[in-house]
Amino acid sequence: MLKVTGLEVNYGLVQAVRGVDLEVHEGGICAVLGVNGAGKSSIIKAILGLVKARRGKIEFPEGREIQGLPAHKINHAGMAWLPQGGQVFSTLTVYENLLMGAFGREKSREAQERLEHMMERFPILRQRRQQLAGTLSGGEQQMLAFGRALMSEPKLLILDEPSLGLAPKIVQGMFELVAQLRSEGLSIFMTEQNAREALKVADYAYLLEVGEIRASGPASEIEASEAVQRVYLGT
Amino acid sequence: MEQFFQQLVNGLNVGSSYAVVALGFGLVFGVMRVINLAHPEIFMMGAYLTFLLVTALGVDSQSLPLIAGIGLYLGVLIVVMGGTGAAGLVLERLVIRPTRGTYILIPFIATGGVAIFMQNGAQYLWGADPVLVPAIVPFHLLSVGGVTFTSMQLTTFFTGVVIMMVLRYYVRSTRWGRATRAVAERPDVAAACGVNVNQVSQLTMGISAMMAGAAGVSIGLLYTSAAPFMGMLFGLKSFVCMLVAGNRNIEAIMAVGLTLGVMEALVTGYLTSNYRDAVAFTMLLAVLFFRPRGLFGSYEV
Repeated sequence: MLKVTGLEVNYGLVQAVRGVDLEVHEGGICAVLGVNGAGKSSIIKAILGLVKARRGKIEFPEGREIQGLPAHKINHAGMAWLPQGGQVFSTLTVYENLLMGAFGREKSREAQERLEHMMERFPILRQRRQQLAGTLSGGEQQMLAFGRALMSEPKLLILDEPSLGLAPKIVQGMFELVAQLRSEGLSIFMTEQNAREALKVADYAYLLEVGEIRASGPASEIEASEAVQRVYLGT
Repeated sequence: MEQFFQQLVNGLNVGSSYAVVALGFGLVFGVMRVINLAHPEIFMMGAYLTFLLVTALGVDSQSLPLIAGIGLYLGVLIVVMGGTGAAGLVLERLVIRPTRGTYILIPFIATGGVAIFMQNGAQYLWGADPVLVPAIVPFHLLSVGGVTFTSMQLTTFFTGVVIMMVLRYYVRSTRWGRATRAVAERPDVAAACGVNVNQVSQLTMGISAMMAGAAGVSIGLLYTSAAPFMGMLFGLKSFVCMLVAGNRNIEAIMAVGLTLGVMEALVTGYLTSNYRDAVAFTMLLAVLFFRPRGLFGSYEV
């Protein structure tokens, strides 16, 4: 589904991503684990077309090279983003936020059905549909951002630290949602600091440290590895 | 008391144009994070285009029935708006897009250069003295309860109000208006939702320039003159309106623009016209002291 080869991202003189290769398989959940500053968001921004990579190839969905394309074109190709912290449009209503997820196709019947579907999935959104998104709580905003991302019926969903700042109970619910989305056929690429929860739900995982991949493999392997246990799982 | 209402009416007229120009400033700043210093010159260009068109038409407004005069006015308005809109798009493509980025100062200076170029261009083409913009709407005097206004004043005011209402509808209820608000808030996220941010910027710039042009038509006809440097003071006051209102919502900027017009008229009527220009800046100082984030909140003033 998504293949990244030799990705290098710079911010001025600072190299945030140094030659990263990774792959997201269709219908699977791929997790990239790392602490703050490891380079996770930079990888995401490059994949989404929000930042120009210095070097590297990004192929999506099947072999089509998208590096260098503007972000809106990449979205049209079937990618959706749940940014860190949700980043809802706080001056737009809940309803309008969801509409933005389906930008360009709001009037279509599919979009209307999707909207209905989102509100069923997240009933709180229906309740608050006319409220300004900025007035929602952190967890609710995250849900709204999820809904917004799903509105475009993406092939690949990119989640940037989805559990950040959320209460443990909500985090659980969120990862359940992620697993359910996989069972519905969605491919998911996720970065996370919360290694424990991420490894439980992921199929494949990468360990990112200071811009480089240090380890990769099926989630169960990574989870069992001693290094991960020590550094990320605190055992 | 009549004097008060009379000044109110006079003030609302000019105020509606202040508001329109201020909205134009606000749109571009909000969506593109750019202060377009050439915006007042596009306003000036609108006045000069009106001058060219109306003199070319060579109509004696008094000989026209009112409807025909208004029809002609609308025609001129549309053509001028088209012209300034196009100028705005060119400005966006050639000057603003290459200079946008982290530093607000760069497009500021670049558009400032364009402003100087336009001012001197107008001076070169038509001289430094104001040129006469002939009337196009036949002069009629209306009187309601002791307050008189001219047909031109009424036309100007309604044009301003309609433009602002259309803009408000656009921003609140259309797909592109929604996208504009989204881009103003989080351009990256909007882009990842499939919004072509460059297109939205262009659209916004075009709308902003059309509005400046429309205000130029209004003021040009109202004061029957166009001058190369007319944009400077008018633009500055409109910019102040934007700052005072806080650039969060359209209604705020509209209200402040109209209020400024009215206050200027009241000061001119009750005190002396010498203080008229000071009103805007007094307002700005007051707001900076007491509510630096703007009367209705938001953005670094």
